[in-house]
Amino acid sequence: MTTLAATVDTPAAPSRRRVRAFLAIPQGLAGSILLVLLLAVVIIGPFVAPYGENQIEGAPLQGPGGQFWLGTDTYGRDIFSRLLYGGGSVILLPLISISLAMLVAVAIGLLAGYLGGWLDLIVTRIIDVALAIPSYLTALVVVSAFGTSGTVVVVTVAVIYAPYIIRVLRAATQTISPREFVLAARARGERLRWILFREILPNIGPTLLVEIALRLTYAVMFIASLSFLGLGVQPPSPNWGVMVAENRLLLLVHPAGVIVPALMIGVLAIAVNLIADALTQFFGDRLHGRLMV
Amino acid sequence: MSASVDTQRGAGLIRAENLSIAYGSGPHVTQVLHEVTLALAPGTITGLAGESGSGKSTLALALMGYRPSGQQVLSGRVDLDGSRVTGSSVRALHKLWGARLAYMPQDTSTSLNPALTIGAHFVEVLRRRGGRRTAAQRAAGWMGRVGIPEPRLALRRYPHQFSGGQQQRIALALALCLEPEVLILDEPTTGLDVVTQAQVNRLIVALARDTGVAALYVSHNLALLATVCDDLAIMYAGQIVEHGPVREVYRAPRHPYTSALISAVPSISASAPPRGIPGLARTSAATGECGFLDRCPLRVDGCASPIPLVEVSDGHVARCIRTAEVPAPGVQAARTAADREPGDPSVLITVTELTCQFQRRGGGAALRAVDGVSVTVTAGRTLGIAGESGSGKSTLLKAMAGLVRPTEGRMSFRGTDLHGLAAGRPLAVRKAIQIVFQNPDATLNPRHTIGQSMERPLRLFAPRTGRTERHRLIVEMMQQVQLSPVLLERYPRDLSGGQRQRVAIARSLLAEPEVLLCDEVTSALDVSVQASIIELLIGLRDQRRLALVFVTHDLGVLRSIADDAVIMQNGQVRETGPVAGVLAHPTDPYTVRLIDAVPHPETDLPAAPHHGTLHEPATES
Amino acid sequence: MHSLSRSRGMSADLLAGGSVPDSPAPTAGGSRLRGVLHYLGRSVLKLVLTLLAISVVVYGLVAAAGNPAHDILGMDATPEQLAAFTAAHHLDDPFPVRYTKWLWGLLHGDLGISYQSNGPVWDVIQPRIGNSLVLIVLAGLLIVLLSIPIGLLAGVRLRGRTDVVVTLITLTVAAFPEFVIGLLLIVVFAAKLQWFPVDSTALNFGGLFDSPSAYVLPAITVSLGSIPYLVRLMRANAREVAGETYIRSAVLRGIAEPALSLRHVLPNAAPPIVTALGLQLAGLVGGIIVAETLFGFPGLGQLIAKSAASRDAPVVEALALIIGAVFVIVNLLADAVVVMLTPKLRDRVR
Repeated sequence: MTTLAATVDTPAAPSRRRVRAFLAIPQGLAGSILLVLLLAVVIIGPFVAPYGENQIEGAPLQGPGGQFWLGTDTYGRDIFSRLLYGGGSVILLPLISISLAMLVAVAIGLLAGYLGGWLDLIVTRIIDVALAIPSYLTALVVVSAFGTSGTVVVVTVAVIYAPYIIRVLRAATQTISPREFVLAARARGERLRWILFREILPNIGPTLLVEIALRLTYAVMFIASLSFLGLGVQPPSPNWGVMVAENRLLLLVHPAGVIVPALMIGVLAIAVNLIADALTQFFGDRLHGRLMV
Repeated sequence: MSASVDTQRGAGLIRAENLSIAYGSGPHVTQVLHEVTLALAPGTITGLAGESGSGKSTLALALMGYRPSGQQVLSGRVDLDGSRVTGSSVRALHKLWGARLAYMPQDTSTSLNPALTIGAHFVEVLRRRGGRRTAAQRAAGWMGRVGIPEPRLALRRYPHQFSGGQQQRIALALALCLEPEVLILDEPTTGLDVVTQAQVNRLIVALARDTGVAALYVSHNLALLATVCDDLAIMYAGQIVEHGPVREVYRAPRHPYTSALISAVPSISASAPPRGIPGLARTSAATGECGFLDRCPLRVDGCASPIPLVEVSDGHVARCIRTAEVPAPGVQAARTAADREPGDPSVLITVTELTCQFQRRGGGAALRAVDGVSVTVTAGRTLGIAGESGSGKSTLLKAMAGLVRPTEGRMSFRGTDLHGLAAGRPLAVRKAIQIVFQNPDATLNPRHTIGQSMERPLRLFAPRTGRTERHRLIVEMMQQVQLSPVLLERYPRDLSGGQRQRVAIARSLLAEPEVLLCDEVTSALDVSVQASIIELLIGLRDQRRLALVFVTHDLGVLRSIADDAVIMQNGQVRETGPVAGVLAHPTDPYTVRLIDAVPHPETDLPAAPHHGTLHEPATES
Repeated sequence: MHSLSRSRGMSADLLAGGSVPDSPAPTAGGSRLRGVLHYLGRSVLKLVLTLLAISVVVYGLVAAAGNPAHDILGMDATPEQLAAFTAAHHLDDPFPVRYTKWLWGLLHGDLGISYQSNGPVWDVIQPRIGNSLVLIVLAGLLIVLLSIPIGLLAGVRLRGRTDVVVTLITLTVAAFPEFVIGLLLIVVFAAKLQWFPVDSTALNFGGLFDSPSAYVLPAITVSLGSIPYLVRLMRANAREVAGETYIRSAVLRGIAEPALSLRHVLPNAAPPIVTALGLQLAGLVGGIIVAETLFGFPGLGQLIAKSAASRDAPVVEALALIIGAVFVIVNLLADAVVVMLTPKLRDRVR
C-alpha cells in the first residue's frame, strides 16, 4: 500500500523561474530597468563623457545646447560630463556602508534572537538607545568631530543603519526559533553554528534581503542629503549631491545644473525602492518578524 | 434531492439547490462544490461533517450568500423562504445578515472585535430593531441567557477580558439576538478545551430548540455531531455523499466513505484502534465520477460516472450504487500489550518529582508548568499522557527530550542521570530518545528537501555509514512509513500534513531509538489521517519493540494507543494506571469530569427533536 | 554551551497546546491607578536613562576626535593661540571632568561657548527656536491630517488598477530625498507659478505673521518626507485588519460601510501608525535640517548643519541633546497613546 506521490507536480522551481516571477511584478520590472540604465550610466559614463570632470572648457553659466548638452556651471565645466562622472560615489558609498552594516548585524541579530538571556538584553538596550537618536544628529555629531570625508560617511552610515538590521533579524530569528524543526535540531544535539546558519538563516533569507534593499534605499537618500549639506563628499567631486549644493543658488538663473543631478538621485532612490517593494511582494508570506511594511 | 426535507415546510426554509462553486480565475480554477442540494428546516439541527477539502466551510458561507473575492457561483442557487439569496445585491444581503441569517465562526478571536466593548457589539446590532435605549436592556438579557455572570457590568468589558468559552457564548448571543430564522455554526467549539466544549454545545442545543431556528452545525468531529444533531450530512470532494437521521447514518451508514470515516474515529470505550483510509483526500470537487473512487474498497466500473443520490429509506439518501453492501463501521481486533512479543521489561526512563518552573513575563507568581511529577517509561510499553491545554503534558515531554531544563527533580535513563538539556547528554542517549512534534507545518525545515531532513539523524548518530548506505537506509525507511521515495527530492510544502508527519516519524526512527516521544502528533490532522498515523505508529512500535510516550488531549486516541495512562492537570498527575481501567473506572474527580465531557456517540445519540415531525418519536428521553 | 532561555520553552508549550482553558473573567480593579503610576514611573526612568546615554555618546564622540583647535584657528595659528584656545575651552582636562562640567552646566542652563562666535551657545540658538517650532507644528499637522484618512481610504476602498497607480505614486514620492522634492516644489510653485517666495530668508527680518508664506513650501517639503511612508503603512494595516475574520463576522451581522471602516477597522489599524509616527520624527528631524538649509530658513536645522560643517562642537552638542530629548519625549508620548488606544495593553498595565 504505497502512498502516492506529492500533491504538487512541479519540482522546486529553478532560479530562472523565480527571476521571471520577480519581473512579473510591476515594481520589480520597473525598478530593475531603471537600475540597469543607471548602472550603465555610472559604469560607462566616464568613458563616454565628452569632457573631463573638472575641465574648464566654456564660458560659465551657459544654457543647454551646442557642445554642452546641459550647459555649463559656475566655473564653466560641462554639466553633462560631470553628471556622467558623478554617479559612482552616489551608488558606491551606500553599497559599501550597507555591506559593512550587514556583516556585523547578521551575526549579532542571529545570536541575540536565538540565545536570548543577558546577551539579548544588552543588545536590545543598545539598539534602543541607538535608534533613539535621529540619524542626522549622529551624522552631524560625528562629522563635527571627525571632519568631512567619504570614509567618515561610510563608517557613520554603517553604524547608524546596523541597529535597524539587527532589530529585524533578531525579531525574525525569534519567530523561527520556537518552530518545531529547530526544536528537533536541538533535541538531536546539533551544534550552535549548525542551528544558526543551516536551520535558521535559510528561513530568514527573504527577510534579510528585503531589509537590506530597504536600508539601501535609505542609505542612498541619506548620503545624497549629507553631500548636499556639505557633510560628505566635498567639492570639486562631481558627486550629484555636491553638484546640487554647488549650483543651488543659481536655481532661478540656471535650473539645469541643479534639477538634473537632483532628479538623477531621485531616480536612483526610486529604482532601489521599487525593487525593495517588489521583493516584499515576491516573498510575501515567507517574511518573518518584519515590523513594518 | 434530499428527501429528508419536505418541500411544503413552513416559513424560514433555507435551501441550496444544485449549487456549484469554484475559486480562482483564468487557468487556475478549482471547483470546490458540485451540485450540492441541502435544505434546513426550522427547529432542527443539521450536522455537516467532512474533512479538509470537503467544501463544508464553503457551503456554510454560501448558505449565507457570502461571496469572498475570487469565488464564483458556477450554477445553482440558495433560496430563503422562496426568495433568492445567491447573487443578491450587497445592500439586500446586509438586511438579511444578522436579522434572518446568522453565522457563528470557529475561533474565539474571529467573531469579536478586540477594540470594541461587548456592549458596543450588541447595541450596533440591536439598534436595527427597536431603539437604542432598549438595546442595552435586551443585550443584558441575552448575556444572562447565555450564562455570563453580572451581565450589565460585562457589557462594559472588552473581549479579551473573557475566557474562550465565554467569548463563544457571547458570539452565540450576538448571533441570536435579532432572532434570526437560520443559524449557521462553523466549528463553534473547536478551539476550546473538552469540558468547555461540552458546556457551550449544551447551550447551543438548548438555545436552538428554544428559538426554533433552522441550524446547521459544521464540524469535523463526528462523535460530537452524533450527540448534538438531528440530521447528519456527510461531505466529501465537494458533494454530499450521505444525508439522513443521525442515528441511522451513524449506526448503519450507506456510503463507504461514511462507514470508513466513522471507523476512523477513536473511541474511548472500544479498545480497537481506529482505522485509516488509504490514499489521499481530494481537495477539489468531483464532477465526473464518484469522488471516493480511488480509495473505495467497493469500487466497480460503474463508479466512473456521475452518481446520483439514492433514497435508502425514508429521509435517508446516499450517493452510491452499492449502498446495500456498505459494511458497518469497522471493528478490528485489538492487540493488547499481552499479545505483543514480550521484550525485556526493563525500565528505560524514570522521572522523579520533576518540576519545571517559569517566570511569568512582567513579574507575578512563577508558573509551575510541571509540578512534582513522577512517571516511568518501560521498554515495549506505551505510556499515554493526557490532559487539557495548560496541563503540562507537553512540557513534561519536552523535559524528557532535553528541550526544557527542569528546576527540581531528577530524570534518569537506564539508571544513569539524565542531563536537563540535550546538548549536555552523551550521543548514545540522544540517539536512544527521539521526539516527534505536533504541527506538521513546522516540523520540517521548509528550506531543506525531505532527503536532506532525513539525512541528519544518520549523519549524527551513525557517522560511519557511507553515502550509499545512508541512501539505502533512508529509502527503506520511507517505504516503511508508506511514502514513495520520489518525495525525497521534494520540499515540505509539496507534501500533505499526513505525509509530513510520516516523514517526521521516519526521521526519528532512523536514529534507531529505544524511546519515541510523541507530542500531540495527530492533533493537527484530519480524522482519517489521524487514524492512519496511529495505525502506523502501532505497527512500527510492535515491530521494533519501541517504548512510546504519547501525549494527547483526546481520550479516544489515548485509549487506542496507550497501555498505561497518566492524566495531568495544572502540572500535576491526577491519576495513573492501565488505560482501560482509568477510562472505565476513574477514581479522581477531574478524570471523571474529563470523561463525562467527551461525546459518547454509542450511548448518547440524541432524542428526536421537539419541533418538526421528521423522525419517529424517541423511545428514550 | 548555549544557555537557552526558559521562557522560550514556555511559549512553545503554550503554542503547541491549541485549546484555550476556560478560566473566570478577571475583574477590573482599583489597582488600576497603581498600575498607571507604575507605568509612568518606568517611562520616566527610561527617559532619563536614554537621555543620559545620548549625552554620553554625543559628548564622547566629539571628545574622541581630539583637539579641534587646529582646524578652527586655521593652519597658520601660532602655538600660543592654540594653547589659549585649548585653555579657554578646557580641552586638556580629562574626559570625565569635562563631561561632568558640561552636564552640570546644561542642567543650570549654561550651554557652553561657541567656537565660532565665542559667545554663549544659547545666544546663537535662541532667536531661531521660534521659527523651527512653527515649522515643526505645521509639518506635523499636515502629516497627521493627511496620512491617516488617505491611508485608510486606500486600504479599504481601492482595488485593482487604481490601487497599483496609487502605490506607485506613493513609492515614487517616498523615494525622493527631501531636497529633491523641495527643489521641485521651488521650481514649480515659486519660480514658475510664483505663489510662494523662492526661499525663506524673509524670516530674518520678521516672524510668522510678517511673512507667513515663507513657511508653506518648507512645511510641505518636510511633511512629504513622511506622508508617503505613513500612507503606505496605514494602507497595509487597514488591508490586514479588513481581512481579519472578526471583520467578516461583523459584515455577517449586517454591519455596513461607513460604520465598518470607521468603527471596526480604524481602531485596530491606527495604533501601530501612532508608533510609526513617533519613529518618523527621526526622519522629521533630518527633513527639517535639509529643508531649512535648502530654503535658507533661519532655524535650528540650518544652524546645526552649519555648525557641524564648521566643526563648532559646543553648538552641535547642545542642539543634539535638545533635539534628542524632544525626540525621546515625543516617542514616549506616542507609546502612551498607543497603550491608551489598545484595550488589551491597557489591562496589561495592571
